[in-house]
Amino acid sequence: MADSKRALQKVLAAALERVDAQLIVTSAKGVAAALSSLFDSLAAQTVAITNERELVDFGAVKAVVARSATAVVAPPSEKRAAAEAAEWKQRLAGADVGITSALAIAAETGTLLLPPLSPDQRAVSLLPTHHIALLSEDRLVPDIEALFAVWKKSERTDGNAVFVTGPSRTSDIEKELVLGVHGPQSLHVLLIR
Amino acid sequence: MSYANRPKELKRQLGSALRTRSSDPPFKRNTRKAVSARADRVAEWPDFEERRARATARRQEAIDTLAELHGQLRQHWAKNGITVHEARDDNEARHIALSIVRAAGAKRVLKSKSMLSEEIEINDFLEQHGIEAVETDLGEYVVQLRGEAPSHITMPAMHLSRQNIGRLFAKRLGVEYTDDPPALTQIARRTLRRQFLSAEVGMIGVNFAVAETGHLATVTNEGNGRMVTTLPRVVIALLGWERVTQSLEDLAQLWQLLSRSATGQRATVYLNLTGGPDPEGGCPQQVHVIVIDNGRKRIHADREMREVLRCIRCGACLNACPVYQQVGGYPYGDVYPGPIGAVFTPAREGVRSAPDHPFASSLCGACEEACPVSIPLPKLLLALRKQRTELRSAFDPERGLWRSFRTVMGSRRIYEAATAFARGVQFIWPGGPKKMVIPGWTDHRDPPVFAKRSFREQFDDRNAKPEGPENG
Repeated sequence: MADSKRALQKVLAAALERVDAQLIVTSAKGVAAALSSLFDSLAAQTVAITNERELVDFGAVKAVVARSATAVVAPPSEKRAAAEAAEWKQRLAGADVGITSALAIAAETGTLLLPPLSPDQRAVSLLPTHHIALLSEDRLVPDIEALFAVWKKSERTDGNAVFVTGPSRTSDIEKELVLGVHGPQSLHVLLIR
Repeated sequence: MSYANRPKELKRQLGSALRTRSSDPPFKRNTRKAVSARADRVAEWPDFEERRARATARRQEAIDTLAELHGQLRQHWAKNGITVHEARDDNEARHIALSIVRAAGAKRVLKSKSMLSEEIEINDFLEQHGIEAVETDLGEYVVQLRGEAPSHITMPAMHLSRQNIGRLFAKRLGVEYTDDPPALTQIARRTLRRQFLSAEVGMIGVNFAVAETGHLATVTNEGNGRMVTTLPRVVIALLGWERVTQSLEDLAQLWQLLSRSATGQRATVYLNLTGGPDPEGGCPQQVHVIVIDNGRKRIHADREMREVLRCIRCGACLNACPVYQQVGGYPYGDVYPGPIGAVFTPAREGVRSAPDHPFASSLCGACEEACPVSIPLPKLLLALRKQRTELRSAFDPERGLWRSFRTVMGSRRIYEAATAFARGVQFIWPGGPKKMVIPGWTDHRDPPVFAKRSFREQFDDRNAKPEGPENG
């Protein structure tokens, strides 16, 4: 059991590397430290995070508030006036890092499944320059088929969901790979033991 | 950026493209790269052929039960707050989209890449009505700035070099010239970011609508599909009538086949599933689906041609096609170039509207081999050629020629008499048979010359006086 889990993690690490994303495996206690060193390496000033229950439980929200110069905490859902909504988008777009949870990740391709979230929270994995996804290692599944099975068993199977495989990319200019077109330029997966 | 010149121009366009192309055109390099990337992804999947066969069968089942699947979709859409519109043709689709944009009080639409939106030529129409349509896929953005149409269904700017794009950005965006792809990409990112953040209406093409859940699935690599479904108040989703899949499991398979076939990725960066407007009143507040027929039901009514509706628009057949590799997308004069376009367009609009398209192929079969849903493109091209030929009058010289050919080949006596006559004639012909001119045929090749004596005559001679060691 432990062996197959390790083998799957190795497959995941290779898959993420292929799509120019990074895997960091840490203990629950190490979350704050891992985030802190990531913020350093990304020179992050402003950090946005969704206040999903899991991220609160992992202590990630607390770590972000304590560690970053400016923290933007995205609430589950809030009705906003147009002007306020526009300002909120600007704040997220100005963030260096966005942190979200994930329902699951597929080892074979390194694909994350992001759950249906409020519009404010969905933008956290999209607008900031870098994206960090936090999830517990028991959310690691073998492949995309298994990822869809997780989605089918989840609470809101008709909601908005996003599958993410690596940072935003294009090869539209002479088929040369460039990262970070409209979405994040880098993706870091924090897998928690 | 109009496709209006299509019908009779194809032959001329292909000819001039061949004569004027450079020795190493970008589309040749780019298709080569795409072909090898796909081959790598196929090779690493030991069960690729099984997956392909399964996807083929499931796509065909979906096409055969479309009415039922659309019924399911409508139930989910009603429940999830998605508004449905039906468009019989491109004109209806354009007007529906315009009325949605006007009702939203918007002056600009931000678009994620959609070939269907090209098919209904919506950008020009919106512009004519005072609404700016902004393409946000990098390649589409580039061709839009140039006032062109995309030259490939998944790589819109593949006919351009980095220098072309550098000069374009310098001229149109007022930035300093660079031909460095990352720098060019950053310029586009900055320019379009501002527009995303203030966008009121977003427009997407739907890769697949999932009957089981009602999801509108959009595949992108850049994240623009997510931008235009997450940030604006109103989302307009264009759905080709046939782009429906049964279940989430089917979507999982088709997405992977699409990724591997189109770009040689294992999975595209984003697969975005739009379920409907935000239940709490956030963005998007409205999601509109426009289900577009535009000739698809006509194809569906034709049992044989129906198979082309399985297409998932990966572009693998374009990349594999020796004709496309030589000339790129533009000479086809249509939104869908290459083998799929040569079938889809005449099938959708009637062979009269694109009479030369079925002939723009050597029938080598590379397209069918590359197709992830095994569309028998050469077979369909032949069927369309037949339709095309049947349109010709009974007195058409080519039909007459083939009728005579059949008569001659059908009888030995007539055949021998005809060839004897031809052999006789060619030696009294002034200048000999090589001087004979058959327009369109002898431009590039010599007419065949008959031997002095036929094979049968020579054979009979040899049998009459046997030779060889065993008789010696």
